[in-house]
Amino acid sequence: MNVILRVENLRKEYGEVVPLKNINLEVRRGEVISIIGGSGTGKSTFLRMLNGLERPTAGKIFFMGQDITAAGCKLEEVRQKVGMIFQSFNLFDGLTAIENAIAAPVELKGLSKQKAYDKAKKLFERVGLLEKMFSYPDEMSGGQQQRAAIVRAMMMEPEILLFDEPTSALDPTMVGEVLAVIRMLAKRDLTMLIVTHEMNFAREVADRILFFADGEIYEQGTPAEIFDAPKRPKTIAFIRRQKFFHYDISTRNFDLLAMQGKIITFAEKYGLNARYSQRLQLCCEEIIFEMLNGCYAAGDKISMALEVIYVEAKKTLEMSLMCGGKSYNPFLEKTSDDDWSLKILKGYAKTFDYSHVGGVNRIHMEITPP
Amino acid sequence: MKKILLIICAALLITGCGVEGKQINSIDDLKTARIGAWPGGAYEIKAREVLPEAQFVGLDFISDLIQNLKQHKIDAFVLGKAYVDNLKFEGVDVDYLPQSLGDVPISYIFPKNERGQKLCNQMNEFISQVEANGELDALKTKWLQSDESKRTFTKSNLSGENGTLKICTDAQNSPFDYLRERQVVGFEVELIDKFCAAYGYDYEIKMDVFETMLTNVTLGKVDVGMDGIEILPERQKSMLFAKPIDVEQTVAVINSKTSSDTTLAGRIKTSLIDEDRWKMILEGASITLTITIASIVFGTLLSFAVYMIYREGNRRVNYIIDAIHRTLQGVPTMVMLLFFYYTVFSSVNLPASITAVVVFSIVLSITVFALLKDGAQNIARGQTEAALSLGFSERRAFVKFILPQIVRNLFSQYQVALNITLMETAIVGYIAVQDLTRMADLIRARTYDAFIPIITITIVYLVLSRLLLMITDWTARRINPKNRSREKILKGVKL
Repeated sequence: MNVILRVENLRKEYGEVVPLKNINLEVRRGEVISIIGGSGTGKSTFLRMLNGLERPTAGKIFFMGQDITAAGCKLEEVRQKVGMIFQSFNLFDGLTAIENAIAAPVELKGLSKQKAYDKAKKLFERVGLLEKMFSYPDEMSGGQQQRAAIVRAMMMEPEILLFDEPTSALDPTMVGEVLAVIRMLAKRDLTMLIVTHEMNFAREVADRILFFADGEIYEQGTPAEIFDAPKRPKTIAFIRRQKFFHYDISTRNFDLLAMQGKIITFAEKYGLNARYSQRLQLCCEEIIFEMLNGCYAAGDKISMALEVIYVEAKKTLEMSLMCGGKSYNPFLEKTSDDDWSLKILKGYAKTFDYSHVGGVNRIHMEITPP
Repeated sequence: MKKILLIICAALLITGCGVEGKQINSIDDLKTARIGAWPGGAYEIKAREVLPEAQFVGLDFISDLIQNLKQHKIDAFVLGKAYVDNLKFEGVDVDYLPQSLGDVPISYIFPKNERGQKLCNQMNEFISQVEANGELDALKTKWLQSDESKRTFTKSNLSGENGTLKICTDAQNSPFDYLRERQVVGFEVELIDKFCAAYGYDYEIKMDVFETMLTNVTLGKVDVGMDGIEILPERQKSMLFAKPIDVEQTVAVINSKTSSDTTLAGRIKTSLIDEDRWKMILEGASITLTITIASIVFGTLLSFAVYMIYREGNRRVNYIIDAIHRTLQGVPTMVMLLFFYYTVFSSVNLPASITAVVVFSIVLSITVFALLKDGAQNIARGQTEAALSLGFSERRAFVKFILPQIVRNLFSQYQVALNITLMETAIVGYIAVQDLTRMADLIRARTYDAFIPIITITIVYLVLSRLLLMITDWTARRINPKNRSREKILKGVKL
């Protein structure tokens, strides 16, 4: 077993806060590892410690047998072999893509400009950016910038590549192109550690999944183990929540557009078609206003929680809503001809459920797919 | 630029054409005229007796009287004839009407106390003596009727056996008492010097403004007051006057008819062509430019040097830098200039222009340092991290990737700071550097015409400022990476 990276009892403290308590890990050469977990669980911090951008409070990191946390360690030399891709690309402003790519090999490895250029050109060609070689960062889209940043990191021929949420800052339309490039690299026996929120991608690309919680590697295993049969409670909750959409409302003037935006994103994540997505939006909007008017008088304090669940097995959507106020079951109301909202709800509901327990209205409905 | 010049030309035409002065040939023409005079002085009193309907304008200094006359704000001013003769010796282009408006006796003043009375008596005795032996007339000829070249004076070797007289004067009234090469000289000075020699006194001269001097004498704080003081009944109530040492005719001074050229061309000739005064403007401009450029170079280097030290992040060092920075930020440039000139460098004997460069370098570096500090914060830490992750050292990453961006981002603010430096150099005249502004002042003091020299330096400053802007704009284009061609980006690489 060829271990390229070994982490022992790694701990990081920021004053009182301890994002990472105790991490132990061995990474084999050529392994692709996806790191998932809720925000604030120290995933990025962990990654940034692996190339010395953050100093651990305790513990050791051995990279190719060398302790990079040791006092005499020349971090600059280590970093040449550890590539990093950042969430916000971090291309150097004022330099073209090609200059970004060749700066480090020319300056640090003494590669001739010509050789560096030839090499970069091949890489740019492979990531589909040949035409953008002479563009400046502000002349490129986010996806293009991230691809250029990957080329920049690849130019140093790193032993290991660290991806710190490489698609989180991207427009959804550009996620695909970047993921495609990373997939391509993964097939080339590169060792990679990828912090990501793209679950499908993580599942597809990784040999191993690390789930971070409570300041440690809470659970790890193959993608199938983690995604299909998580064992520990937090993993289960996290994997489940990935299929949830949740929105709280506490005022009549809530931001409807923002909510709809989030619903659309949620729907896109599961590849729902546009009509189903629109149906979901309509139902959410109508049920919210129906309940706002039915349960609350003007001036009442409003507390409402909307949840949307995607049931992968059936490929259908379920929506549930909880709210206070007086008891009100919209589905019992008579529908007059001009009451469109009730008509819509009743029309799209495959099944529905209502209860009023302990002063809380609960509505659950399944939305008919188109 | 064209618009600005247009505005200046318009201003020139409006003011330059000037107000045509009243034709004045005799006292009668002054009956209802505006007449300048020392406020409340004997010359005004005499003139009022003759010209009760005239309108009097009080002006304290001879230079003000002349300037107002030149600009036709007054039609004439009244003054003792000796003063006017002196002005003519100095080349000031004025005339006076031959008729006298009345005689004004002049003498020394003493406090109304025992010592004052004694001195006054001795002085009266002395005056009678020198009147009789012709010495007084000789002194008058020398000081009141000759030009500067004949007015020699060295202080006598005085024994001071009877004590030292404290003498107070304004020292602004040539030829009676005035400053020449940092020594007070004049008709009254030599006369009292001889008095002291005769009566066994030594003396020291203290300078104070006229009113303060009168008060000092009244209160007995000094022994003698002199300033071509006119003997007035009002003043006699509170102080003692010796016998008149001179009687001045009150004359009405008017603009010279023969040669005075008040047309725009004439004024330009006087201000700029005569005595090659345009060379002064050129010299001033070159000094202003030299100080500015030197300050820009040193100030910029200084700020970068300090900032690079600051970046190292040593807490104690940064604390000191911050403290100095904050302190200096709160000091007006003018004050800093005086501070360096009179305290820090006073013993080193550096040329004043070096002091100016030091001060303006510091002032510029204060601004640029602050810009750099803020500018670095505005560039996301991410790019530095990206460079680090590739294996660059912190310093190399900063110099290669971050600093060029800071410079580009701040350049327009930097340009403003440079222009401010150029503008602020106008104050160096205060420490005797003969820059552009100072030269205009000097010309104005000689010609009593403020407009032409000031409008000239306004244009020169404008030109200098535009020049600076052109150079910095060119630099800004040069440092914009997007203005590079592909060939330049990858020099020496076969694409």
